Amino acid sequence: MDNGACSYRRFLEGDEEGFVEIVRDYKDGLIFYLNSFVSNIHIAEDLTQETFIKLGLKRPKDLKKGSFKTWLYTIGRNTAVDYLRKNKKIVEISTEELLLLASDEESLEESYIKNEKKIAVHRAMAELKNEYRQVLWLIYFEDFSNKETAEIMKKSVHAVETLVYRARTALKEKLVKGGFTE
Amino acid sequence: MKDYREMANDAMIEIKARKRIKNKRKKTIAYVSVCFCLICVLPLSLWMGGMFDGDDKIDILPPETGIESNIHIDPETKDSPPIIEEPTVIWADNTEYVYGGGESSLGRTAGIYDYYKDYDDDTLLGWVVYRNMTYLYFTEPELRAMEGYQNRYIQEKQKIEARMKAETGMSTNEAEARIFDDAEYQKIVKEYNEGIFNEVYTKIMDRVYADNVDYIESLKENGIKVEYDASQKEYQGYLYNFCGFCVISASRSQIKEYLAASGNQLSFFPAVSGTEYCTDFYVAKEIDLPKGEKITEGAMELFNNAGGESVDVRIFIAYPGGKVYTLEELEAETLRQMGLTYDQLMNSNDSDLIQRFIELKRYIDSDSAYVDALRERVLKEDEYVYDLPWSKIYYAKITYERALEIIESDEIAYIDVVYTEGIYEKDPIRKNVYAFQYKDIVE
Repeated sequence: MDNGACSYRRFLEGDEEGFVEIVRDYKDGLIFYLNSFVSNIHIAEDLTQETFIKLGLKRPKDLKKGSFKTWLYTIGRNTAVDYLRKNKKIVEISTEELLLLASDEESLEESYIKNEKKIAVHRAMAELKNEYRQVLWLIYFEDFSNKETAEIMKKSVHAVETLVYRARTALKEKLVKGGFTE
Repeated sequence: MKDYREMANDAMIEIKARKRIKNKRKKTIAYVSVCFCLICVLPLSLWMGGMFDGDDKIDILPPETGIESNIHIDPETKDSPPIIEEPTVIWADNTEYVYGGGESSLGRTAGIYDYYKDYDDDTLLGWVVYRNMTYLYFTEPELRAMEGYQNRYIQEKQKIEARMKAETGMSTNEAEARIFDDAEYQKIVKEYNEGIFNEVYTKIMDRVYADNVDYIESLKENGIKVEYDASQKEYQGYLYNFCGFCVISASRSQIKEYLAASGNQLSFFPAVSGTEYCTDFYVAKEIDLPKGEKITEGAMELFNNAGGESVDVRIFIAYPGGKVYTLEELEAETLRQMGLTYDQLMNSNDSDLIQRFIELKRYIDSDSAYVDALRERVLKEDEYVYDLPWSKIYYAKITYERALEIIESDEIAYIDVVYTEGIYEKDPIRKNVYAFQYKDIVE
C-alpha cells in the first residue's frame, strides 16, 4: 500500500478524482483521531474536512514516499489544536444532540472499524485521557510506527514509547473493569 | 454525517473559493503596486521620455456605430483577458438600462478566461461566440419600439403565468415552460408577431442576417473553424433572438487576435461538452462547471442544502447518439417536410407560415424521438418534470444520489440549477463567483 501517495500524486497532476480517493481512504480514520481531541464527532468531521481543504490549498510537492499519511495526520492535529485554542469555552450540548452524536459515532465505528472486539476497545478508549486516546488510535488502529506517531504528535520517539506504555496500562484497567475478555 | 464524496465535493468547492480569494488578494496587492507605479513612477518616466501619446487600447466596436464599447483589448498584454468596463448605457433617459447586454455577459466573458486558463495558448477549444448585435443594429426609434413591445409582452406574459399558476398550482418554472402551449399566450404572440414583427423586426433581422454572412466568412478567413452557426433569421416569439451565436474551434490566441482585429462586439463562452448543438441560449451561461465535472456548483449547493431530498434541476443532454444537423441540412429537411422551396418561404409574407417553419425546424433539430427515448432510459417517471419541445434539456426533480447515477451516462452533459430570473441573487455561491470574476477583471 502506498499510503495515498499515488492518489495524491494524481491530484497534484490535476486529477480531482485523486483527491476524492484520498478523502475516501482517510476521512473516517481522521475523524476518529480528531475526535480524540474535541470529543464531538460532528466537530471532528468539520475539522477533517478542513484538513482536506488545507491539503488542497497547500499541495506540498516534496512529500517523501510513504509520508503522505503522516503529513495529513499532522495537519489534522494542527487543525484540531487550532480549533481548541480558539474555542476554549465549554459548549453545552442538549441530551438530544448528545444522543445524535453517540449514534453517529457508533455507525461510523461499525462501518470503519468493523471488528467487534476492536469496536469494544475503541469504546473503552473514550474514557481515557485525550493524549492516550490519540496515541493508541495512531499506533493500533492506523498502524503508524512510533517514529511516525512521534512526528504527528510533535514528541520524541522516547516520549511516545512512554506514552504508549501508560496508555496501554490505563486501557487494560478499563477493559478489565468492563469485563472484556480476549 | 457526510459520505466521502460529499466531503470531497464540499472541500473542493471551499478550496476553489479560498483560492479565488487568495488570488484576489494577490491581484489587489499587484493593483496597488501598479497604481503606485502609474501615479508616481510612470508619468515621470513617460514625461522624461516624451511618450504622453494617450490611450492605445483597441475598442471592439467600430466608431461608426457611435456607441462606445465597454470591452477593450490591450495589444501589449498578450495573455491577459480583455479589459471590461461598466457597460455603456445607450439611452439613459429615466432608466439605467442596457438593452441586450449587461453584467451577465461581462461575467461570462471574464469567466471563460478563468475557465480555460490552464490550457496552453494554442490548444484548440470549443467556444460559443455570442454576438451582441443590439449594439450594432438598433436605431433609436427601433429600440424604443421594441422596448415598448417588450414591456407589454412581459406584462401580458406575467399575467398569463399568474393565471396558470392560480388555476393549476404549478410552479413558476413550470408555468414558464408550459406557457408556450397556452392559447391566450399564442394569441398574444401572434398579434405582436404580425404587428411589431412586420414593422421593425423583419428589417432588423434582415440586416443582422446579411451581416452575419460576412461575419461567418470573416471568422473563416481568420482561420477559425465554424462548427455550427445558430444565428437565425427568424422570429422566435420571445426575446433572446436578438442575439446570434455560433460554435467555433479556436485557440485563446486566435480569439484574442480576432477580437483585436474585429469590429464586432463579441462575448466568448466555453462550449461545454455536448451542448454545442443545443439551441437553448442559456447553455452558454454555465461557467461554473469545473473541468471534468458534470454537476455545476449551483446544483451541488442545492443538493447539499437539500440534505438528501430531491431538488429541481436541469439535465443537459450530451447528444452523442442523436442526429446532428448542419444549419443547411436542417433547413433543407424542414423545407422538404413542409413541401416548400427556400425562396417560397423567404418571399412569403405569411407570418404563420414562417412560424410553422420555425417550430418544425426546432422540432427536427431537437431530434425529439431520441430525446424522448433517452429521457425514458435516464429518468424515472416521478423524477421527470417537463422539457421544452425543441430543447435538449430535461427539467427534473432528483436526489443527489440519482444525479450521480445519471451523470454516469455519456449521453448526459451536465446537471445545473433551473434558470430563473434573479437566480444569482438567490444563489450565494454563484453570485459570489460572478461578482468576483467581474470585479477581478475590472481591477
